Amino acid sequence: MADPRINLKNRYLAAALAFLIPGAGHAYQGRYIKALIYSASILGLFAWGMSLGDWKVIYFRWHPKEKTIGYLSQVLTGLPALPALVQSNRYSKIADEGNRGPVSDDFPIDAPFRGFAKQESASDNWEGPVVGRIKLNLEDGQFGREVRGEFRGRLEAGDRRDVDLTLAGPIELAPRMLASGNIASQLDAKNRGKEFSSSERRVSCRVVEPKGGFDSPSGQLEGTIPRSFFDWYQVPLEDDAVQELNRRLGRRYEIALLFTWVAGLLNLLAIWDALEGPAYGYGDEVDQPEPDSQPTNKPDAASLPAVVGASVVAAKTN
Amino acid sequence: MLLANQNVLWYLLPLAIAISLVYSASRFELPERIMHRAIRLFLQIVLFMGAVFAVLFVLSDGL
Repeated sequence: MADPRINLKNRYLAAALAFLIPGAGHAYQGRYIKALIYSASILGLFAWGMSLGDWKVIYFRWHPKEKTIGYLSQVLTGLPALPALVQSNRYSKIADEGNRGPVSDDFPIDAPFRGFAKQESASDNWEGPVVGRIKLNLEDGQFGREVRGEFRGRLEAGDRRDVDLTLAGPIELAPRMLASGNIASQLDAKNRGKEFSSSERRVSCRVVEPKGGFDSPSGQLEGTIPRSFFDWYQVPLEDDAVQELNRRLGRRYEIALLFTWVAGLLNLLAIWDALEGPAYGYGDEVDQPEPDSQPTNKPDAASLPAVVGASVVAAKTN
Repeated sequence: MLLANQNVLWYLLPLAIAISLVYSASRFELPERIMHRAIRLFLQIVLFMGAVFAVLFVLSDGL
């Protein structure tokens, strides 16, 4: 039973608010100091954990092969962790479809690009890392709808020249959400076999040179473009993406998981406080004396002889 | 090796602060009592972890 000085208002509503946003339930009840303590501590811990884990430590997957038990704790933080349920649903639908290559929904693409390019033509012959902007679109071509586009950027090695490439033909594009759909690098020896982060989307496209009305293949462009925030945030990670995170972040990843787990568990205390009030009381209660020091009706040792003596006198007079 | 571990251990301090504050806030209502209790709990946690760290450090000496 809560202290009568604490107005819990509609305590069930307060508990629901406390679940959704740590501290919100207490703010609703007018317990602003506690709201501040809970929101700063729990949301601060949660956000710090997310930041340490590259914002990829929260996702929900519930399959016989893999169950994210930790999410059951993380979800207690409320709204900040709930998008994982929506993303899990979206992910499952896309995963069921499998990697079926680029789809029309993927285009047009106009994004920053970082990767590797190789140009082998009669007039121009070079290869190296490139940074710039890639534009791709589906256009009507000689053989139906085909991908065409351009890359404009700069070579990051050698003479650091400006690069302007025409792109056409077969394209490999990682699926919208699946990190494991990233394509193994064919061009860049250093990055060959290296998995890429789920917030990046791998793209590989042929470089062409128009010759006599036809596109003549002259090289290859391969690298990554950023994934849309909604396509990677709290999206379930495949094993290779988790390994990439572990490799890159090391122990920070484990600390990040710990912080988000603990934040959720701490919010359980906050929810209970919004529902039932503080566990021990208001806080201004006088400490209760120990049971041994409480006064009793039993005679103490000093008065015992007098009591015994009075009893003897009473017995004699009777 | 010890320095690398220290970096991770520093993360436990803010964790202990958050745990102390939230736990204490869930026990009492008065801010002064919450803060007093949180500081005491934080010190208890840090001392306990420090003691465990010291024991493990001594035991791992020479390994």
